[in-house]
Amino acid sequence: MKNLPENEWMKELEGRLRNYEEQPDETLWGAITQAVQPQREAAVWRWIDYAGSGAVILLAIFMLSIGGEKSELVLRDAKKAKNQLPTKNTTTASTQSQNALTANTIEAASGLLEKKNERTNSIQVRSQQIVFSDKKSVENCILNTSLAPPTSELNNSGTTRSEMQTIILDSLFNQKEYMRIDTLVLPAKGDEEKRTKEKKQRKAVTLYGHLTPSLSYYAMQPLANDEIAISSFNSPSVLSGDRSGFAGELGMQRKLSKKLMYTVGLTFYQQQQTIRYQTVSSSKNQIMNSASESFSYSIIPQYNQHIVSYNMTNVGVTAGFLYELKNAGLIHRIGLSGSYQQGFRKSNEESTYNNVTSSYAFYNVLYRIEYPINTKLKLYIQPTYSRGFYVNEKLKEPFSLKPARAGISVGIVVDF
Amino acid sequence: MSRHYDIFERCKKNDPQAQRLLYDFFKSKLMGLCRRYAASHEEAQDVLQESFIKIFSKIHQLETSEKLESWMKSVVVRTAIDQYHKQKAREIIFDRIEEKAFKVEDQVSSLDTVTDEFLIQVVNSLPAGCRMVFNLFAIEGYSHAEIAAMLAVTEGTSRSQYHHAKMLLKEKLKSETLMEYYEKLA
Repeated sequence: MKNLPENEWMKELEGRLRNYEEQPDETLWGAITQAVQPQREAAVWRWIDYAGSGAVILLAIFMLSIGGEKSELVLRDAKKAKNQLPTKNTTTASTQSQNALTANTIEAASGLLEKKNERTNSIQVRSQQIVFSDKKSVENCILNTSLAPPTSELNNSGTTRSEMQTIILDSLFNQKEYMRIDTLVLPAKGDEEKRTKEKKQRKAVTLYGHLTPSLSYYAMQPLANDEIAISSFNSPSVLSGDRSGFAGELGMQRKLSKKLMYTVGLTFYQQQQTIRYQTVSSSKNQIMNSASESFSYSIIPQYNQHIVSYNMTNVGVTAGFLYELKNAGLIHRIGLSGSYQQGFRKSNEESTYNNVTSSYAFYNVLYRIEYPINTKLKLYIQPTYSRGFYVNEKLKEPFSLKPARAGISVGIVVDF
Repeated sequence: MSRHYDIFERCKKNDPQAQRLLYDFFKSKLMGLCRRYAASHEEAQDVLQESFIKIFSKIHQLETSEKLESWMKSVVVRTAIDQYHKQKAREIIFDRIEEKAFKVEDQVSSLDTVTDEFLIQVVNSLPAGCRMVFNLFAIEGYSHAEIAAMLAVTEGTSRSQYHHAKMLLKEKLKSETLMEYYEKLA
């Protein structure tokens, strides 16, 4: 064969191949858009992921910084109060006989006071802290190629694909034996599909929502310098209905890794509680002259009852992490989150507690048990303990409160 | 040109309508390109799908619309090469085509008498390595050095693969009448 014809048929072949056009299947565009659409969504979700993770980190930083500052402040105040108490109480007792005095008898006389004190030594002064240290109930209340089968199948049916190829080619060549592909092993797509599935699952959007009946507890911190002695708090039992509250949460959770996911959501909390406490009256103490000794007086303290309407309706945001511990039928997760809530309930003018100007930050420890109802829906129960670490509360009472809540959430998780 | 430019700019903004227009405009050409590199129609569709996904996700990297078509073709070629590497990594076994079984004497007398589809089928029947080198060298115009880099082979291998591809094609297209036609011309 000479060079010229070979070059000619090669050139013709190249030219025709270069200009070859063929219509793809109509279904191809659908497949492309399906793949492109998630990319667009992925860009959006990537930003949501960043925002969610950022919210969690910021909340964590907020929790650490505020919690630390608050602890320091409490410690400083406690030390300060401790240093001031003896002097203050002695002075107060010798002049007006009012604050923090739970003793029933004070012997006093103008001219013989010192002598009497030395002799009887019967003045009993208790600090305000002692009053509260007796309230165990108060202390105790602190408390989520496209058709190819997998390799294993190919071993059994490897010729199926080649046969298919042969059939296609035969049909294209009018069933004449132009060519034959004896063995053609196509790539196993099983693993890739599995990886893609896992990737999709990781990227899947999951919404959750739950309702939480809860019980509220408070760590009460008396104000040290207000010269008011609180004699007792009405402390309902641990499981009392007086402590009941109700919370709701709706949010989104996304996997960060196989076992770790973050949650971001909106929270709602409502409670209607009444706090009762008793103070020692500063002006209505009854002073009785001792009949036996002319300069001896007995003071009988009078008590005032106080009722605080502690009703709140809070709305806030929450963010946290859930770690999967076990997935065997039931899915067990442990979680830690932080939430910030702002009060929205307007109080009347007489009320000493103004919810609308109050705000709270909590950290939440939770344990979630999920039961898959189907591939898209899971039901879960979630015991949760929440502890307030930052309280900016408008409460005109001689104490401050640090809330803690315990509840069991019942909710659903929906995959999209 | 302005329409082309408009589609290009809108595609850069992920406009679905513009993406559909771009797809409709180039799908036949690019499918033809894919058909040369892939071993089958299905595989070509996979390559085309993957290529358009890359095109839509990376079109914003292209500054002007003037080089759009050549850029799209290069994306398709690179995707086909990626596909080739994946197949190679999975140790796909392509047995050599039994050359002696190839008979075309009954209906082919010249390239004018055979359809484009037939020629594509002939190219498709080449072993993967040969097919890649043939397409890259003979049709796209890459040098053997470039091909060697793209396919992670030596330049010598690229040359020998091309030579082998040519010989196989010649065998496949060889028929007495066909060659007689060219020999008469000579």
